[in-house]
Amino acid sequence: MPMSTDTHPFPLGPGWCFLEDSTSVVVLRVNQAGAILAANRHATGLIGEPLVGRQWHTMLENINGKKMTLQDWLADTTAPRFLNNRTTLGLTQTLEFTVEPAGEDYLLFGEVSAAEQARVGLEVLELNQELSSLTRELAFSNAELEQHRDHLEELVCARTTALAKANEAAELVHRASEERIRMEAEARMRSRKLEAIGTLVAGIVHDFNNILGCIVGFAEMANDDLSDDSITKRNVDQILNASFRARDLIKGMLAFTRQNPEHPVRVDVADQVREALNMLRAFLPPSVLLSFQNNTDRERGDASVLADPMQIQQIVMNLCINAADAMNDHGIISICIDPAGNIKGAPPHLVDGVCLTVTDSGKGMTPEVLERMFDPFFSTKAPDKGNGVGLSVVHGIVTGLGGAIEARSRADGNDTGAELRVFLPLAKNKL
Amino acid sequence: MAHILLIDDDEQFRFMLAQMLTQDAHRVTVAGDGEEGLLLSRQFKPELILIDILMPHKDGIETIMELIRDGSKIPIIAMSGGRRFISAEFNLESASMIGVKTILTKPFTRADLRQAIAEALAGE
Repeated sequence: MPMSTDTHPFPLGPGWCFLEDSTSVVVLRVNQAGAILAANRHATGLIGEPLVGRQWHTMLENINGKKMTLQDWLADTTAPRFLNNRTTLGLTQTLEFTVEPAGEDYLLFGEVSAAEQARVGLEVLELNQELSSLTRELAFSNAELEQHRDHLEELVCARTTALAKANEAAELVHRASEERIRMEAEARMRSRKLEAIGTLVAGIVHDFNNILGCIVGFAEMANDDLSDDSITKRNVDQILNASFRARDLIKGMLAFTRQNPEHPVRVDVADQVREALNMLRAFLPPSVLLSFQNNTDRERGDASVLADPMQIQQIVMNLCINAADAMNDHGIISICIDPAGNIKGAPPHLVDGVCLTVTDSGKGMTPEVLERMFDPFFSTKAPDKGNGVGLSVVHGIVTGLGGAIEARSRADGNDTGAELRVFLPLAKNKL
Repeated sequence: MAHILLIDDDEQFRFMLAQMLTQDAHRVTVAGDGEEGLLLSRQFKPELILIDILMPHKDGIETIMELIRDGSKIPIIAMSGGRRFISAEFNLESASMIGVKTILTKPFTRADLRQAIAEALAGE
């Protein structure tokens, strides 16, 4: 009697089933008509279709390509007894079937032949080996990758931090320099405005004073014809009075807008020396020889200082006038400009600056004179020949510019004279 | 009393000063700018020069320098309209260095003028 498909396929005990289920053998129970009554798990798993209830001959179709009843198949000993099964791995397995009667039914056992097993086994072995070797390679690659990744993370971290710091610093510098640029621009604008105002005011003042001068002059002359007790004279006196008030008013205003005498600009000392020498040459007698040597490089900014041009000229003028006096208007005055670094004995804090040397062939100076020469009103000249402020003025200007002045006297035999050295700091940010 | 060369670019002021000087019995020659002033100076050799420091074209200072370069020994009185002489760098000390005896700041009184002329003429 055909078995119901609901019940356990094998009437034998559970132990049997367990064994049968764990085998690698395909087990099918088929009845006389060819209906599959039971199939073990391996069968289902391997062949991959629900088998119970199916007709064996549908399986047979797969085996020998044509329909055949079970009886015929069993009777025909030449009919193939194997099933080529394609496994999930894509391998083709050949199952050889043996048929055994089992009571009223038949048991079909399908096994992979030993040769087949060997072949498959070899294939699997090869695959395993390949897999093993790939796995190893992968492990190494992974390790490398991990290390690189860790290393990279470190690098990125460090670089990011460094970059952030650099950005911060750059930002600060940028802001500071922007601020400085802005302030410099503002300062320049302000000073230009003041300059403009100053110039404008000065121009007006000049004309204004001319006009006032006329009023005063004519008023004074008008007064000449008037008697002291006349009302008109008193009125004209009032005109004069008013004019002087106007003058004082203007003077007061001018003092307010006056250009700061210390209006420093970038000047080349050599240029100013030349200007001063032009003036000096004009009024020094021909018996005073002037020699000028410039050992500085304008392009390099060797002599570029921050000062009012008039200040430099005043220094030169005063020093040379003094020198001429010392020589009694006969002799040679030498003026030299050198980078301070080339001068032996330059003050350490001015060694990057410029040195102006004025040498004369005069009578030289005694130690007492050397000591007091920069004192205001100290003079070796006769009282009517000068009040001695010249050198103290120079001293004041030089120290005001952040420089230094030194004097030396030669008094050895025939070679006498004085040497005055003015050291000045260079304007910052040499271009 | 003296032949005075007056160099000033302000016409009215020139006129006023010329009148004032003439009233004091001076002989006055006038020039409207530095160039003219130099020409007239060389030509007439005045005894005193009254010159405005700030003038267009030939600046007063330049004119003075040229006079000195010429070898002129004529005493010079500089007049200031208040510009160049208001700053500290150009004070009496500096002015005397280039041969200017006195600086008169406009507006000056006739008394100041007379004193300056007297000093200048007596000086050399």
